[in-house]
Amino acid sequence: MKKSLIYIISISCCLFFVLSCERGLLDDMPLDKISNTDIFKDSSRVDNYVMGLYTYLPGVYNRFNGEAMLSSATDESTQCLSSFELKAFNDASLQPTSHPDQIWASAYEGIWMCNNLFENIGALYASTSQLKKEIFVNETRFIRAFLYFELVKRYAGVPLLKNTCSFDDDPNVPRDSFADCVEFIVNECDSIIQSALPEIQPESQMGRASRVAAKALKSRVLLYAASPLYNGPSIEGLNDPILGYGVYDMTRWEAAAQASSELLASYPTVIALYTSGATPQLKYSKLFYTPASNKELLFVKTRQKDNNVEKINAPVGYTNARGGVSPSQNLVDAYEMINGGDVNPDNPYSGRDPRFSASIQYNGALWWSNRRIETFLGGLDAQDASVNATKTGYYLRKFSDPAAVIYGTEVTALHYFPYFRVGEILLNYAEAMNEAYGPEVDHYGNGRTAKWAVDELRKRVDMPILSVGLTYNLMKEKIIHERQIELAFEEHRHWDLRRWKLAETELNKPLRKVIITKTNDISIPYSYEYSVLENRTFLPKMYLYPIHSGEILKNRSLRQNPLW
Amino acid sequence: MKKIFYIILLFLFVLVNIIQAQDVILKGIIIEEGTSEPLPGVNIIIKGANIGTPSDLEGRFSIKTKENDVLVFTCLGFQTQEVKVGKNRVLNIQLKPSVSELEEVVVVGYGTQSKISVTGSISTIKTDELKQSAVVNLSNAIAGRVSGVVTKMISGQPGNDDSKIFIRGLGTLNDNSPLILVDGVERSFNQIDADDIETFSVMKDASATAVYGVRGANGVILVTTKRGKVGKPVVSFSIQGSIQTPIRTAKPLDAYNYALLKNEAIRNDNNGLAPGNENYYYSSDEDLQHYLLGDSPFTHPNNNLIDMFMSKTIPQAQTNLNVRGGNNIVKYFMSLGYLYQDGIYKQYKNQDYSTNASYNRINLRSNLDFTISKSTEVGIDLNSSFRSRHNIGVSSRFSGESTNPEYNNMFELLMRQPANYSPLINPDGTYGNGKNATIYNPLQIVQDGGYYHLNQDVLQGTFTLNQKLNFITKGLNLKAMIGVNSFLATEQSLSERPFMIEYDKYGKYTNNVLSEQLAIINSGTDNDWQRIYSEISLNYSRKFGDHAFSALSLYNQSQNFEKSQVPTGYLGFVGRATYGYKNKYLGEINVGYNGSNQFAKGHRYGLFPAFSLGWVLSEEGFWKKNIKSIDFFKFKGSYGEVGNDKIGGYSYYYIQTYNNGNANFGNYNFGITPQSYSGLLEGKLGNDQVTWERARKTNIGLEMRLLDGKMSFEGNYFYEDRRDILLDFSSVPMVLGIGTPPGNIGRVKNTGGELELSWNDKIEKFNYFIRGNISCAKNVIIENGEAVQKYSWMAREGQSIGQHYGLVALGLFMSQEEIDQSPTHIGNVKIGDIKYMDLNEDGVIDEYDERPIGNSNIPKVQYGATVGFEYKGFDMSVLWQGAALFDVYFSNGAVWEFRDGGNVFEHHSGRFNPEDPSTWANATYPRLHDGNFPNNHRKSTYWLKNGNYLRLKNIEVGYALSKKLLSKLPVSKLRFYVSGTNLLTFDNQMTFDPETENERAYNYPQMAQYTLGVNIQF
Repeated sequence: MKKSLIYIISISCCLFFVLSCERGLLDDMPLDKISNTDIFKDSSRVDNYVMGLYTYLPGVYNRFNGEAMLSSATDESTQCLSSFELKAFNDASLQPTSHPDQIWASAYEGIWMCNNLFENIGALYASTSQLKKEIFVNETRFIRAFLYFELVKRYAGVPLLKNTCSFDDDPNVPRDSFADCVEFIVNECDSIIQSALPEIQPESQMGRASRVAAKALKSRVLLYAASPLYNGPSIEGLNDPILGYGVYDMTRWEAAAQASSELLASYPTVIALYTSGATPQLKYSKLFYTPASNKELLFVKTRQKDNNVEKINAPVGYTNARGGVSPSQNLVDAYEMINGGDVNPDNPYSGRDPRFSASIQYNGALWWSNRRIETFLGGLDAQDASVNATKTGYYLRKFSDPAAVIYGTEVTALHYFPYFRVGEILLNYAEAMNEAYGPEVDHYGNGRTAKWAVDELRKRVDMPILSVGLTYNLMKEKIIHERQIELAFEEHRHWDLRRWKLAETELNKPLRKVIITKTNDISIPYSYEYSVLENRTFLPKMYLYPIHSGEILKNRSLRQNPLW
Repeated sequence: MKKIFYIILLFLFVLVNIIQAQDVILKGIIIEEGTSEPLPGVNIIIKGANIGTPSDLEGRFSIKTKENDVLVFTCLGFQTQEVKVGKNRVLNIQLKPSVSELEEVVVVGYGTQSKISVTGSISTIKTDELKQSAVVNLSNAIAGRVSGVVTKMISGQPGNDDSKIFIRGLGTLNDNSPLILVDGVERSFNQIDADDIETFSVMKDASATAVYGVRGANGVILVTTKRGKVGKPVVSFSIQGSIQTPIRTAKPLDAYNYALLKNEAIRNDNNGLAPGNENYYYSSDEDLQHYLLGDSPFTHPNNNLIDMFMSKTIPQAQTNLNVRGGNNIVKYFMSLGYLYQDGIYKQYKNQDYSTNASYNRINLRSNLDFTISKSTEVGIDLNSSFRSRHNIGVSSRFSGESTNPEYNNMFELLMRQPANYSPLINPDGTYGNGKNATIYNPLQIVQDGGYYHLNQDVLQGTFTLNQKLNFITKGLNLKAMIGVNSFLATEQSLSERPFMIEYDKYGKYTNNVLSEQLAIINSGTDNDWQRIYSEISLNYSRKFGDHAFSALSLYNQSQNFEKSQVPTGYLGFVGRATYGYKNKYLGEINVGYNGSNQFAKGHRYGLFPAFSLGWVLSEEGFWKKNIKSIDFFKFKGSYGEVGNDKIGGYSYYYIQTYNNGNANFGNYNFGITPQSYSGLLEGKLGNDQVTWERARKTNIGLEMRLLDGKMSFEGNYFYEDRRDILLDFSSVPMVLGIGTPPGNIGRVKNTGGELELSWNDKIEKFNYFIRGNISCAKNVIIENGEAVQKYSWMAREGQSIGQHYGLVALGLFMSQEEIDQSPTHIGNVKIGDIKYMDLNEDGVIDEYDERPIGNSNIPKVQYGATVGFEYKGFDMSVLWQGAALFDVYFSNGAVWEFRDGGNVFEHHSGRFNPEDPSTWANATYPRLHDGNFPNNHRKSTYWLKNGNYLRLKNIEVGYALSKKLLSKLPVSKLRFYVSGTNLLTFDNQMTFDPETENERAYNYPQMAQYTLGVNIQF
């Protein structure tokens, strides 16, 4: 008996020995997790790291809840949905705790990634070439500068973090002055312009940072910095260095003109307006979905082929269409007649600036399946057609590729959203030149005046050029108008109205719509009735975004923007 | 199904025949004292010789003895009796039931203890009670039956209805779920057949849980399953059928009232639309007339979806067959259980497949104990469970692909879809389609929408070895155990969509068409994992006169393998020493020393000690002399530390990580023919200081038995201080640009107590009992790492876990002047909208005015009481159960009007109608809005409901046939019973059940259940 007992004990002990000797039960390391050291020794992983950085660039098109465009926070449009986050901009119900355009966290996350690269790039395997290293560094620099500008245009001066913080650092980081922020971004752009980065990326690498992209960023940053919101006292009338320069200085406009002029030096050879199109309308509309042989796109948000823009914004008469953006009557009214005359009240959509039909779907516009858009009451796309139908009588056409198909066998298309394009640079140049030197002063002696730049854009779409001898004020109005038309729905007006300090006048105007009724009269088939869709409110505090109140509480050195 | 029964029966009987006959010298019959009931399974042992035999089914025994032997008769529940053989050749023994419960044994961590010597806080449920509720899921059977436990049943969906269980309320801001062990191995008990369970114990204080070290702080539930007993095979068979019916369903308004209210909401919002003209949803007088008369069902439908699609009688059947017995060599318990539970939806014709929800389960268990030698026992337990869950497949309207099928949106759909939304079938026989892309046609879903099917296979095996080491020293015992759990789940779904077209109220087909999607079948594994657990222990237990010692030392380890993860593991050492003097002074030390690989090297191991003391005053001489009515009186107290490492799965917070990007974020495309490049994304910084939570627990208790054991009482008070709770540093600003790892910064205090009281007595042959328990637990967050809040009322610190925060509603605005004089509310507020309190008096209602409102969402008090009797074969028991001091918040589609194109319910009829001043004074609902209205739809006291409820949880009435009647039948026991569960609920009459947790309340409803069953024993 004893024997069998000892036998059993020894067997069970052996069993345990076998089980326990599996090497280190608690020593299994989570090797599937990637650490800093893993990344920064191998240039192919740094490649991935830099790819990851690009995704921190802000979203585009219908980026709010996958439905709304930033244009619907301005007088350009509203959304077909009755409630959407951006509405808070329109009824002034923005809160420092819940802000629809909150980018603070993701921008600083991207900035941390950039700083982390600068600190670790030295650890690369020695076989990595110096050129490759320099390209990594300068792409990263560009993204950091871009992200900082995204912050500055929302909040004015922000904390400039040039290094990563460790867990033990003091988290109470104060805001830097607006001037320092602008200077930092401009200096970064200058060093990128001097770097080994290509002047223009080859088409196979379209979407990557380049020297022209840096020049374009610099052009915009200096233009914004020279604008009334910053180039002068703050909205409370104070000289507050965090919010702006405090005192107006004309040389800021000169610097802005200079930056745009430097970029335009290679115009129209290396960079140029896109003009491949049979009609003026196509010359303009195709530039947004034709990246090949397109010298106008300076820096774009690239993505896979899709038909999301079409699907989200298409008139609801098409299967799978979701209505999306409803352009306002306010914007429609801004499109001039080609002949400079008045709009025909019985046929209001004919004879308009070709950019109108390229940007907006109106009643009678010809679209997919060779069908005309029907926004008259009872029509396929009318206000009463479905819950997603337009609110204003219009749909968005800009960015939509007529070759894309959203129903049946779907067809996708390329949509590269222009962060920067030559059209904008020409307008930046025109504005800065007009402010610094006047409408028709040839300061650089190359014939390129403010008027010249605006005319370049009007010529593309066969619109009459500006008349000679406009005053500074009239020219300013023309440029403001041209920006509204040329850059509609490209996330410009939201910022332009703020930096011009015009938001209080423009964004307090009610948003208007049209109701179209079919008549029995064949000669005048439709009657048009214009009315207010909704009232809009803009308060002075909204010139700058509020910093999230949670952030203010956590970071005791951080100051909230005025009036929030 | 029948075949399986026969095969199992055959198998069991073959095994039973192994029992051998023995020689006869001394014979006798054992009966219970004062009755003529024979006692089977009494152990008769020759003292000092370790030779023995059990009594058989008729209480008879025979044993080979010598004249000067002493026979020891032992049986659980009876006092042990010793008899000298002498000249007796026939012995008729009467055993007294044990009154003092001295022999009663309680399951404790890694062993058992006599109940009297327990100094920790442990409560148990009797298995008969667990069976009473006829529930499928055992986690739903414990509410009200055990003290110190808070349960919440969130959903009634078959196979997906686990209750949340919290022991002594909430102690941490992280996972509060207790550690659950079945037969000593970490396993779920929810789906075990109630017939298989022997004991169910809840370990509450540090003394009882310290041995579980880093995993014990949330309390531990120990379940043991039945094992074989020496004796003839006893075959038990039970079968029960139940009808379930939803306790409560929402009551949507009919088409006419819906249209009336919709018109009113549109007018209230005055959203710039001319009535009757542009807005599709506005109903003209003519429309209203059609809705009222129902004379045009295609253009003006009036669908009562709840009645059309939800069944009021849902069948369920459960059966179990088991056999229990054994001899000197083998003891066995084997069980086969089968369960079928039907779903809530009515069965619609579908020629190809079933779409209704249902649940099937087969449980097989075999627990075998082999006596290999006098000192060696080996146990082999095998358990398997095969479950399958079927559900409606709700597919996306756009792609036809199945989207998150477990999301129970069929039920939500029935609640959300307005009665006049669209005809379900168009005049031409096609399916109707609506304008709102998020509301589907329910008829299409139940008839042609596909299904979702989930199979879960559970395999569990345990091998144990018990070796007495008396040759080294008396009372020493070695135990080794290996347990393996394996879980595999596979899923399959079929999704399809027929052609659908909108037929509008003007009687024309529109272009709102969804084209046909042919069937797509998807399948995959849902989840699979394996856990291997092993332990080896030395146990020592011996009495030296008045001194009783016991000691345990144990090593254990476990390793979990889960899909695509580095295996996680634990290892630990456990030690315990107990001492008792004359069962009067008791002391105990428990120590757990554990390691977990979730933490950095150097921070992996922790020591968790606890000690406890007990003093049985009733054993003192002075007590025995003076206090006669109190038979037993014990003070006990414990203090110790226990840990919690439930910090969220595959965490590894100690290393800094980067994440691989995906197509949605992280990867990037370049070039005019987009080429995707994979990107890396920032993760979190590492914090190698991360470690487990540590709970310091104190328990003081009192146990009493009075009046010859008729009455018993136990009370416990506890205090817990949970430190080092792992939390994110919410005070770190985002400007630093990187996610900080969590740190051990939180602290929560939790105090409370439990009372248990019972009374058993009989009046002649009428036996009756009353049992009641009440548990209270209140926690306070001492530290949670939050940033300093702008106003003191915004702070979470100082409040309970799960505390509701929101605005304070002051009722509805009654006049324009009142609005003008009030602080600025959000949006275009008019009379009939909700008025709020401006806490910071800044003239604006905003998030700074949100303060703690009501109680937390977990009850602070839970109680239960059972009353029952037994008389001449009849028995009855009634369980009441309730919870108090908690609040429920409902939002969205659950209570708000026209939410996301949704519905209105009966409770909206009481709205404030600005056009009708007679409704103003007694309005129970604000002014209606067509869609979201931010001012009214903010979390506030207006939407908070007191969750207190009292339930008639269970009534069972049974009748057992008497011995006389049975003697003519080949059965030894036969009992019929009827029972009802969740029969009555007293609460604040909300639209939904008070236990529902989801704010939108689209979970499958809770059920009442009526059961008829029979138990037979052979």
